[in-house]
Amino acid sequence: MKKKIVLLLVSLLLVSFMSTAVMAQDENYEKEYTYVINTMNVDSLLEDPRLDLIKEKFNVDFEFRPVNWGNWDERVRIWTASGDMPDVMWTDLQNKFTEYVNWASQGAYKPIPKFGDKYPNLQAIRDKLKSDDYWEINGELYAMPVPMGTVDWRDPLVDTFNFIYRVDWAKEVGLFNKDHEYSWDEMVEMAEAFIEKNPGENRKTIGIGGIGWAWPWFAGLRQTHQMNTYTVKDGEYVWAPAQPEFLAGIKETKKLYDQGIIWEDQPIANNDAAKNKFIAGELGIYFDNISVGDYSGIMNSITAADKNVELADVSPMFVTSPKGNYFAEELLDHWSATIYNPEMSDAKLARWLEIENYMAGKKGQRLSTLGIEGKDYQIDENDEVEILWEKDEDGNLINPYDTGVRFFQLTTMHDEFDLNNPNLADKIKNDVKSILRRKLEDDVYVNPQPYEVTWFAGDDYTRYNSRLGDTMAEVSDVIVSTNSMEELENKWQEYIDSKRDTVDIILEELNQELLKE
Amino acid sequence: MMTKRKFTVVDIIILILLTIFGLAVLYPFYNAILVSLVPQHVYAESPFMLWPDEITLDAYKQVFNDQTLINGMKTTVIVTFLGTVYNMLITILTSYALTKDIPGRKFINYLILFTMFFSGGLIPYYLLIKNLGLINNILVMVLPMGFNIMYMIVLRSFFNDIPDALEESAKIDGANDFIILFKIILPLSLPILATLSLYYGVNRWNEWYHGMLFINSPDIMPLQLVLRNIVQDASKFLQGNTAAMANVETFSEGIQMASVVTTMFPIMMLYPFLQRYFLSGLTLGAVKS
Amino acid sequence: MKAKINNLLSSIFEHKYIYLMLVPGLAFLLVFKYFPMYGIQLAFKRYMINEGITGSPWIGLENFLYIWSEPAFWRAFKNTIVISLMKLGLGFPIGIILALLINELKMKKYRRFLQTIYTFPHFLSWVIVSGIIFNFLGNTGALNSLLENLGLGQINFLMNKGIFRYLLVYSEVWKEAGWSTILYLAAIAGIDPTLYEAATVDGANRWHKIKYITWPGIQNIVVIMFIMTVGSIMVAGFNQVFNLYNEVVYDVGDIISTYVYRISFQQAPDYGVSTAVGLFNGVVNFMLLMIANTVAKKFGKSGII
Repeated sequence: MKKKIVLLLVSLLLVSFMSTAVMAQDENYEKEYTYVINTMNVDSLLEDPRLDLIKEKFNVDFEFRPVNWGNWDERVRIWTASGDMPDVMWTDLQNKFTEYVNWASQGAYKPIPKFGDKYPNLQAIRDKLKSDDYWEINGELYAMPVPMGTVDWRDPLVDTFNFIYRVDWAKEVGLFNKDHEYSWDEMVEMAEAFIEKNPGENRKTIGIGGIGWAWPWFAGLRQTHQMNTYTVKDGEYVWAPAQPEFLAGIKETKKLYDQGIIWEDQPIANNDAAKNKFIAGELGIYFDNISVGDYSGIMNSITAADKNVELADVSPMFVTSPKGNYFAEELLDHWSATIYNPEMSDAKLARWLEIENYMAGKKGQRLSTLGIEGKDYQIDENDEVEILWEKDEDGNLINPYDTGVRFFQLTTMHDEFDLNNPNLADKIKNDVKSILRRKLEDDVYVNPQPYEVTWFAGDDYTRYNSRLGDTMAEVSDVIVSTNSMEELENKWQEYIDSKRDTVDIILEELNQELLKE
Repeated sequence: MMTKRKFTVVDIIILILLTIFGLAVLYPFYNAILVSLVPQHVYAESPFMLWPDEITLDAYKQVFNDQTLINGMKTTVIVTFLGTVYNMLITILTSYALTKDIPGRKFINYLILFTMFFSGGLIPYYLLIKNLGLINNILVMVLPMGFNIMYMIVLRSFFNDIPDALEESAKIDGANDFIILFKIILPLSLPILATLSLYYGVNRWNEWYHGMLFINSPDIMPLQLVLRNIVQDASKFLQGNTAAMANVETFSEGIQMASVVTTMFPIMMLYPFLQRYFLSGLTLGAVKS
Repeated sequence: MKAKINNLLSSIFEHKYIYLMLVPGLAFLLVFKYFPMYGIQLAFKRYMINEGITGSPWIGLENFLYIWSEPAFWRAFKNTIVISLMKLGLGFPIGIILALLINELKMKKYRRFLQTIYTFPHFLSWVIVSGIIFNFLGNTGALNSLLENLGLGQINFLMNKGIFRYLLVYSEVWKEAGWSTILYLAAIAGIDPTLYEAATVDGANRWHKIKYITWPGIQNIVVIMFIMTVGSIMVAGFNQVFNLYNEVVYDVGDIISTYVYRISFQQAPDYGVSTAVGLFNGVVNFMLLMIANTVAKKFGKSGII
């Protein structure tokens, strides 16, 4: 017996020596690995000095497959379906969750090892995110989410969808409120005043418009029904479009549309058409996702378009919903994810995870947002960062790197950095922050992100949900082509009735699978 | 046309109709050029202009700044040249062969026609391209294009119209089918050959789909794909700007138009040269005399 | 019997060069078209990636029934057929007429100039053309502001179900008619000019010449183009409709390809279903082509087969 124990101890010792030897070897990065990865702006990326830093530090090389917004999904799908996946595949799981479940279960993706102490930064990401828990299949994770940078302090993670408006016009028509706080009726009144009194001195001024894809829900519908498509009501799942609140919201939008307060071309407009109108000074109130990037784009264009317009003349508009409360939505805690090719060896994946771990840490984040230490920034005695970028004539810092390059955001989004981007005017950053702050106040109803439904891969749900995909199109149709509220109600009821069977199948599955505890 | 005809009322009516159609076609195109040359606020103010208030070359600057554009042009020129020659060769041979009443002709006709309607889908096609080693290879934009069945049928119809007498007399003189095709038939078919070369050329010039699916290196991406990327980026362009870029007033419609003009320019330069082949009398009549 | 085979073999040998000419085209078809055709079986299967196409399980007509059981599919089917017929009836002849008119123009330089500019819209993608149309016909667009200034009130062009199909027909005419004249003019160029001279001597006027010389000269091409257009009804028009349509006109404007595109965005792509749709389209197109071909032959013209 004693002999056996000694034998066991010795072999354990040997194994640990060997593994530390292996790990030590790994930390010396003796073997060079080449990773095939898909990303955007490959030509800029290949010239980026930060890439060389990564290559040298980890003894790796890269082969990039370019994707852009238009072909991203198609390329990812055809690669996976024909077994030609890159080593690290950058993709997005929203609206593709069943694909993910099917393909992961069939072994098309490589399971991700537990992070533990080996990759502390990655473990921290897994700890703070919720989505990855839903992505586990039989305890294994097959896709690593890319967290929103601000997920640390934004709880709940609210959206930045908001109205922005012409402050100078509001002052001119005498309806300006210095806190930018307005009730729904006050907003409508202001829109009417813009149209009637025409402070923009246009042939025709438009009251309210929005980014194309947000029609028809941005002006009345969303703020009225305030629920997710599949929502639990009185203990069971219901379909939001069939609820009376939804119809009330449609009617609200129709009222505004018929009165000419909403831009009449909105239902057919291209995505940016309303934005162009706002920039041209023909639209008074515009709805969009007011991210730092989009907002600064609008501001730059509008001040260039009209020399009389300053940054102070545009501001976010805080409008309470027709219900009287302030409405916001909780976002998903990540955007996009990385999936790994099962033909990669464990060692090869381990090296890549080290790169990811580094990028997710403080130093990596600085590399990603600021650049190379010593050249683009330095840390002073107080542990503060000093940016060494060049400045232009106005004293603004110029980012030496192409901001379209996405490779360095493979482990964390830059939304946190964007809010403090030294490149941008203070007014822009403050305005976006004010939106975030407003949405965290007490009077706000935050519609929760339905994680269980978003990450649901039920058979019936998957097969039949697409048949309900034309619901928003139907909303648009009833708003535009009916001539009275009664006609609208009848037409809408017809649509709801026609979908009853399909909806029931889905609800039954949801109730069964998600509410059984 | 030797005879002089009086200029009748009908002539005037025809002239007016054609000119009106010409304007209807020309104005939007002229507008497209203007959109590529004005800053965003001028466009946003009135998308339809007669004369631009302000001109900027920013859209073109952004298009031409892209490193991959030069490579895109180079690649597309190569693909167009190789592709058109390859397409025309196969089309000519196949069309002519199918004018002959050989055993099995009907079967072969159906064989060809069938492929117009039925295909195995994207997955087997992708696998085939992969197995042929054509992934990331410039030839992937040439070889799979083969011939266009409709063009082949059109050419066959033209070949059929050429009188058999010409071929028969050549045969008596001892010529084989190849010689007949290249020395007699083709010279008589210049207008249609020019037309199909133009059609194929434009198709190859506009190629982007195979590039999108199968090409990974930026240096061999075709021009249209590069331009599509530029336009896509432009709509996202305004995000996360540097201060320098913030002064550039490009917008997606302007860049789209700039890319259209860039694409069309070479073809517009080439087209007039091809036009002389469309003169009537170049075929049978000329040969007869 | 032996004589027949001997005849056959000698016939083949006599045409040996012809068969040689067919080799490149057939080789191409074999490799790039026929070899991947095994994928068609996916229409009757559920694709499992680790089984591949050949190993995936058979599910009979389930994919087809899934598509066919949705009323929106049949609405799209009807729209596809109706719109295509409208384009054939109202749009197709315009290209021919345009070619005939151009042919009548005597001023050479102006004629060349016109021919060149007529081709321009062909090079604009539907993305761009739809932007132009929107700016022109929108409620706050150029045409409506003109109408308002004239006191005629607004017309909601783009959201009008009665107008949409005509918009599709005529925007396509605007875009493609000029390009199609190239082919017809090439056909006209092939007509023996002595025929015209002889006709003038016989006292024929312009219309006689068109009717008895020019039109017969291009008939074959016109028939071929007609048949081929009919044979691609189910799959043509995606780019145009996708860029021009909006939710309000789905009822009259949604075609098969836009419908399929939309539903594939709202769920995981089912390769079995998409192959099934492709097969369905192919069968319908083939039947339509055969009908058009037979009709052409009945009228005494040579068809495609």
